[in-house]
Amino acid sequence: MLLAQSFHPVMLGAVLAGQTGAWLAALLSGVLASAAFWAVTASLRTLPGGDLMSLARFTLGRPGAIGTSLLVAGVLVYHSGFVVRQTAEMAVSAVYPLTPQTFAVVALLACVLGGAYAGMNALVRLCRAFFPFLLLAILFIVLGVFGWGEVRNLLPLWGPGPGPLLVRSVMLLALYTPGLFLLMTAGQVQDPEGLWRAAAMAGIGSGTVYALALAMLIMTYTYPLANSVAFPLHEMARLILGGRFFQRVEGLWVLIWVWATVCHVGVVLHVAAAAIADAFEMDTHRIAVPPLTAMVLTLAYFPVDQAQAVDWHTAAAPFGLLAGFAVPLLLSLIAMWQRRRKKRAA
Amino acid sequence: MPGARIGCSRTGHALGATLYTMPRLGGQSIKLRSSLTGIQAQMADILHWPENIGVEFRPLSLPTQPVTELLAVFLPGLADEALVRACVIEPVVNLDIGTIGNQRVTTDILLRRLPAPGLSEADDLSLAVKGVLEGATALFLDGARSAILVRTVDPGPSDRVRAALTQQARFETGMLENVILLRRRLRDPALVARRIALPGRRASAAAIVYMEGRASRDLLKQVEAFLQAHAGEETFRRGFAAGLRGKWGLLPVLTSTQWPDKVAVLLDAGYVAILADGVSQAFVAPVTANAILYSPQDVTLMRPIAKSLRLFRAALAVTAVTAGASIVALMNYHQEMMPTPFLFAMAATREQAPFPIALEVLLLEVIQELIREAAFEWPLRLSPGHVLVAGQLLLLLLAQAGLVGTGPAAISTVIMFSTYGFFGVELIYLLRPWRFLLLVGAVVFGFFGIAAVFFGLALHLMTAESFGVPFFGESGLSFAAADRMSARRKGGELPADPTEIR
Repeated sequence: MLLAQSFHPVMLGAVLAGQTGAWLAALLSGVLASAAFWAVTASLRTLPGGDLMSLARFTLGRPGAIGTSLLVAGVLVYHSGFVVRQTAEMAVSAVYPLTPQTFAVVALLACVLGGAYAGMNALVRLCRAFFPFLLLAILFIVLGVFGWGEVRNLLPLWGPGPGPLLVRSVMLLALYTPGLFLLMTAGQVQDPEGLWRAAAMAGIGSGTVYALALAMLIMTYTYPLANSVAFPLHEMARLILGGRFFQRVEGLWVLIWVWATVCHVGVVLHVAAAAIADAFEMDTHRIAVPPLTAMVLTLAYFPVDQAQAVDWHTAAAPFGLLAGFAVPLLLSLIAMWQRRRKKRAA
Repeated sequence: MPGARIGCSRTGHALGATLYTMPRLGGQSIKLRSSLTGIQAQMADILHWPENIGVEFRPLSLPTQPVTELLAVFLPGLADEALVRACVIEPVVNLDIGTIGNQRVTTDILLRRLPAPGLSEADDLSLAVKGVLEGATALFLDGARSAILVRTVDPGPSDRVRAALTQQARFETGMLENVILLRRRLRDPALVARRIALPGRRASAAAIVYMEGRASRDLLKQVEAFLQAHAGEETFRRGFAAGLRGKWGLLPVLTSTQWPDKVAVLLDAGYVAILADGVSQAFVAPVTANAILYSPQDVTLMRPIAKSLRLFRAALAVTAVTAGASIVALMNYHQEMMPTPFLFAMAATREQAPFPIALEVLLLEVIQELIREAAFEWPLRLSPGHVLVAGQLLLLLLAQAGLVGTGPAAISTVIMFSTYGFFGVELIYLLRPWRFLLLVGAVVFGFFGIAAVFFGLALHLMTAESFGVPFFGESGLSFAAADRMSARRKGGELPADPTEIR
């Protein structure tokens, strides 16, 4: 669910680049994300409030909290806009050509709005109920093409070498940024300990499934062939046994993908609304949801085409990474410094 | 003499049908008090007397000098009342005092004088309670620090006959009988069946049943308040009269079942049941996905098989909701998804059909609703089997008349079977309106429309709560929670979800 929105473009990029070690980078990024989740949350846990917004309020006062919430909401809204556009472009236009894209975007956002409005409990329950089906669908497609793959495509296993692999892994961390922002609600959950563990497991689990999917993709398509495959996972879906009955089995896969995206964006938008509501001391996050959804709708139509949308998102990824990891760590450092200063003064 | 006719040595085997035998005394030895008042207080505390229905405390006395006080404690239904009369009450009351002389009546004297062969002595409170829960009658004597347990087990003929005929006992129309059916399955002193007074035109007897220490106090309060506010006889007859969350709530406010086995499992998991006189089913609160999808057979099956069956039931529910809409989406938007021979075969079945596929599916869905409503509203309600046969016949006639294609008619039959494939009639009522919304989604935008509407349905279920318990929360859907249901959770209340926002 964490990576649902990024499965296609990143995979496509990996295959097009002919990276034999891309799967290892995905695996490493999962481990790195788990470590980063742990590092950030461990530092947050020792500080007042236990979540990012409380920390911001504690260290920088109300202006600081407002600034942090706006920064976080901005990153998340930008991310949501891209995800909605990409899903509408790739999933709907490619597989369901008769469905107008405008309807796709509006229907997607209506679902997202409903999810964000309903709140985190409903979304978590929805994700939990839906997660096994998503995992099964991915494994069904990925393992279903096992017979088609060439193991030699994976060689050398480390791809272009350890250095570029590590750089690639760090860059892939940007995919996990929305997961990190989930921790903004950490102070409100009944079992914060459980949430830290869940975040760490989500990192490793997502990385593993992602790595498996990439490995199968690289095994299935060689570099020259990959250039002519616009939607690799769709094409993989056709190769599995189910494809003999459902002539376009990718249609079902996209159905699941659309659902995963709706869950993903719903959670992201909820967190953005919760941050705004927290900073501006609103009674409920629900007031903030419709304006944010309108912003996502506007942003979704900003790029001229899919290529431009991907370019913009790729360019913004490092900033998201910085906002996700740097802000909490910076605030933690400030809080620790303030605490030490108070101790000295006492 | 009734005792002679029935035979005091008769033994029962009701324990064979027991799901749970778990006196909650922690296994520790608790000494009986010496005074009868003290013993009565001890037993009343454990068995929740006098508010607990079906718990009998029968004071007896012997005309000795001074008068000897006795107390017989038994659970009617688990203990055969005729046997209690024949083997305990009559022998005690008719005890020949003259032969005792000036001796003080002791437990030993009673043990010698009572005619029944199945006598034993219990000097421990937990043993006495355990005996009572197993169908024995505990006879306490003032001044004695032990109880006499008389074997008066009721084999439960009605339960046994029903079990032989249908494999599973069903609830009767009598409230007390139903309490007994539950007590046979949950032989636990924590099981409380408390009588409640309901508002309404006529005073109807009803009982709220729960496991003390397992059902949350808050849940009990809420259920009682709800019953006081809403329960007339009509509510009990229908079981889903009030909306759960205002007028837009689609979930029923109570779930109902005719299976005591299922109610026993749910009670053990912390749910609350409501029994009413003249109603041959129990109502259970809160309404959760687990409570609806749970089947009594899940308890007796191996865990992986039970899990698979629950998953299958959930799949049936999804099929029942989406199959009609999916056919419309496939035929109108995504023909290329189906193999060409399948597509041609489907098209061939509709060659003579006068309506477009969307209208045809809508017609079939409406016909299903007609059959259901007709079956429900008739004075003599039809069984699901009759409804299915009648429905199939009607669909066949429509197909033969050329009004609908045989392909869509066959799929409509599958939908009908799917709706009856899972336990919980409430889910059918919940899902019915959504089928039409999904159909609209499919007609307008194919699979994408189905996905959007289905998300709405899912979101509605995810946000729904019943008496403060989420319909799809940890206790609502997860198989882990369902397993805990059958594996007898040791905790106090319904399992809490660690990730839930406070």
